[in-house]
Amino acid sequence: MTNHAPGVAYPVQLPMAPKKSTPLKVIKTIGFYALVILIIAFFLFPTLWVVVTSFKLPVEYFSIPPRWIPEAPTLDHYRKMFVDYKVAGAIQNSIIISAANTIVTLLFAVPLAYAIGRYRAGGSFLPGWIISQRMLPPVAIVLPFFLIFRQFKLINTYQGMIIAYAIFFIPFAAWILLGFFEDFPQDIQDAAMIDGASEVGALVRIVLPLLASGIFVVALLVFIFTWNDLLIALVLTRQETRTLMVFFTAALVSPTQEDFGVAAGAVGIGMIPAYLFALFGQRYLVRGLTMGGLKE
Amino acid sequence: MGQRSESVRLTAAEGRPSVWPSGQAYAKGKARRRRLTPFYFAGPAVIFVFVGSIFMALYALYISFFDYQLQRPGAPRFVGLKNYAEAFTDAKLWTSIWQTFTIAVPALALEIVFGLALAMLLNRSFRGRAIAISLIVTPVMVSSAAAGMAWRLLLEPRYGPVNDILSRLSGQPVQIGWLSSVEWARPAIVLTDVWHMTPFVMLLVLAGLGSISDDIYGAAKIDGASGWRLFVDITLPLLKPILVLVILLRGIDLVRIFDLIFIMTKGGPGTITKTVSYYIYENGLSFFRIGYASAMAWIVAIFFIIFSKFYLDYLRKESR
Repeated sequence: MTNHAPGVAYPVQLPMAPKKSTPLKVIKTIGFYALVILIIAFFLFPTLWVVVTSFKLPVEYFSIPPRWIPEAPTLDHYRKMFVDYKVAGAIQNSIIISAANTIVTLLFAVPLAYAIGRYRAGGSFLPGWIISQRMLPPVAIVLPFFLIFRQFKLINTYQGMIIAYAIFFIPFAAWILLGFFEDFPQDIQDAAMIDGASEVGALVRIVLPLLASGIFVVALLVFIFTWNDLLIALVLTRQETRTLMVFFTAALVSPTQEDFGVAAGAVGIGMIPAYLFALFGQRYLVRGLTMGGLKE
Repeated sequence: MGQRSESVRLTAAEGRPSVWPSGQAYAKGKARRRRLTPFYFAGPAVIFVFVGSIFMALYALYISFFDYQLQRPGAPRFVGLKNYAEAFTDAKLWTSIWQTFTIAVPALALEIVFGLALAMLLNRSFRGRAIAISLIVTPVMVSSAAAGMAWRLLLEPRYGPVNDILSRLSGQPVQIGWLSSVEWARPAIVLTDVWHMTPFVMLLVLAGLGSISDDIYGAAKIDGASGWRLFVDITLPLLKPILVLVILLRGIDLVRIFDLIFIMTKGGPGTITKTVSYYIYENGLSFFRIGYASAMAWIVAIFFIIFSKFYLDYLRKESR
């Protein structure tokens, strides 16, 4: 058995509840909580630093040694960000493109997942397709997009971005949705159809409302992954349509420049959807991030 | 079969005399309609996605046979396999593949070790567990671009907190140029990715641990196993399917690593962090050698697909 285990080793004891003397137990508990807090601190610290930096004056973030807590918090960078750097445009682009792509992706992916889930049409093909699409170096896919979109004048347009993203995200969304449709009891829909509803009617009025929470989570995932994408946006957008992620690449040209705090603020804004999801949608994370490869 | 009997039943219910020709025709038409239904639903998506991506892939293959340089006037010139020949002898391409692995392998190993450790630590009931896990997984949904930016601020040699912490701990000034020195650039990328994705590994392992029944541990403890042996002999083998999935998902993402490189180092200093994705990007979209970049993209894609096919076959054999 041991020989087959992947070669991973680490020096932590198994979490078997110790049932020993009380003082030792207390020390262990304190140690355990200290460790957990340390770990949480490690994973939260970068974000906190970014947020704190965005409220510091240049004197403070350019102080040696670094000043950890700003003495004179300022909103100056946010004013600059919106007035001088026009970050609002980038945020707006990110929202428009992510939301539109979410809608388009679901409009295609829901019927696709339904067809596969109910009729078993080509179901085994989908995972293979998604995996192989994920395996390609992203640049391999972006290059032809770039060339063809140049021909059709789709560079620097919302439509172009949405087409490109939808092609990426429809198989992904359909694959997660498929799990929901497979788990859905078909009798409910059949009953509605015997009562005279058409198939589409039964789907829209009976099935989809019952699956609403699952579909909503898929929508959130598609939204965030679109929001987070850098490469496609980098290649297919220009000044007018650039997203927040592309804005980052321009914001922090050199760390000694004044716009240190502006960059920090923009990064903080860029992280907001991720934090909202991690805090409130965490129980769907596993399914979403493994593309349904693992059902909770 | 089901559809046919259903339609026969329907004709009977409508009180038609069972005149077979018309009944059969009715049944046939209905059956065909039923058979086509999934295509009405799946059709639009299939056409959109498949036509879209297959067309794109074939177009990339097509231009890979041309000397296609955007900034040079004149039509692209057909050069046959010349781009492929150039790629196979391009030392920079092979160096970039090697450098990709020098980042991907340590990152993957660390993420699995730490992810496992965290999951084992948190796989017990304690007060505040749900909140602790929620807070730990926050980096996962953050974009690579934002993660890279955040760590650029943290790793800033003079004003960043990482060197500050190291200075305080060691008692002497530490001024590591994380992203500007040849020795530290790759560890810096690895560190960022470990911060970003270790919680993801942890989540998956936690899900796997949740499905292991306590009875197994009970039985093993009766047999006298404890601590480390319990982990190696029981937990790890039972986690194997999860670890396989983790290695596949993280491995794929790590060999394609681009965003962190683009944000943090742009392949530098020198070419020490120039991964294969970044090298192809640079050729295609900075130097606009589109034909050559497409050829490299195809070579690398085939290389990765073969590699992962062997990996999957190997796993399938192992798991039997």
